[in-house]
Amino acid sequence: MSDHLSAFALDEVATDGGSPEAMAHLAECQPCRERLEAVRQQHQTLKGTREFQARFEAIAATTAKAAAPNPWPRRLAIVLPLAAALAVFILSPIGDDTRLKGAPTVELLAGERPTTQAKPGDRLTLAVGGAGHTHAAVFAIDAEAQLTVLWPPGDSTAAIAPGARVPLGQPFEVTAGDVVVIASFGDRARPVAELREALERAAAKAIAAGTTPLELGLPSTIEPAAKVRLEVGR
Amino acid sequence: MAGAGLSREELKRLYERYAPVVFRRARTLLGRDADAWDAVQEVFEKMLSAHDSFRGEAQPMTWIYRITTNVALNMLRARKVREPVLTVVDDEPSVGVGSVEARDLLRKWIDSLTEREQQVATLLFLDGLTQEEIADVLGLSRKTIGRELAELREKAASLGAVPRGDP
Repeated sequence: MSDHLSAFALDEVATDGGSPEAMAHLAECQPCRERLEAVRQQHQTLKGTREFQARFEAIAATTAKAAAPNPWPRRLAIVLPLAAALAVFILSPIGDDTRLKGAPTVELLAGERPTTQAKPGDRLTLAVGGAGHTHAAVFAIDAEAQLTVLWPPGDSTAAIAPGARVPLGQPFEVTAGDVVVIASFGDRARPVAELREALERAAAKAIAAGTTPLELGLPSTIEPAAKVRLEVGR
Repeated sequence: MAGAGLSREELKRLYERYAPVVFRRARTLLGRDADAWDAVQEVFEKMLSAHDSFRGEAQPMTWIYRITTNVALNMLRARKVREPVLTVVDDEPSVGVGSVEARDLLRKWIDSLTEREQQVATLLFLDGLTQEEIADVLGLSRKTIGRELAELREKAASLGAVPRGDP
């Protein structure tokens, strides 16, 4: 590559105008001129795609939302008995069905029974199955794209015990409004803020696409992940 | 306002100018259009949240390369667990012969290299950047980059092979 312009130099020429050295090289080098022309054609093609415009709208929507005045306090779909309830985590698997392989899971337990439906005032417990992964964080997103970090309370994803259904913390009380509960897994600690950011983007994208955040696709940056929707009746 | 003190029109101008570059770079590393578009969105959101530092760059393309490389490598690391086999993209005109081989090796090495080494390896083996360009993109001195490149080549050799595109 040393006889020709690098990808970086070509991209500079194609966008900001190149350095005098790059322009001099282009004047003498037919292969680099052809590569530059191919880059420019790709840019034009990309600008004509539907995805190009859709992503712009999603970015504009996300940043507009970030720039808006903070709407707190907002109605949260799930109110956690924070503080003491989450200060100490009980990481003991229940049941005998320890599973170390397969897809990770997240569940909401009424007692020891998984559920996807609840009423305001019900008390549910979060549970995950790491499928061999050692760390996790769990989030809830409501229909208005409000995100709550359910677990852990710290800045990084936290260690989970092996098992197919590992309870996280104490039961919490359900309030009105459906939510989707999403767990992200990994093999080492990751910043929760990074995962939160990816989920907020995905939620904003869902809104921009005219769908509900309750049905958002899981962004690849939080994979491996699992989700469960909780329908909250009256 | 589109956020970060930018009007929608200003955001649009930045997007029209740089999004195609971000997309192509991300796709070269990630191998799939959908993931590359996710990277575009993430890079622009970072650009807006760090708009002052972006505007402070003498060469905006250095910022674009640095952040896009970081975002794509993060995505690659996150994805590696679930998708060991990736689609090959071979229609990127800005990278040279051997880029596919270089990308495959980078993916293979991703667990063996530090984050800095991954950045340098991407810029060196995949993009074919010069030592000076790598120093500019990563905001480091040429002396530091020279030392890190020597260490990286040694480590790459110990891992198996050095890509043919090694400048």
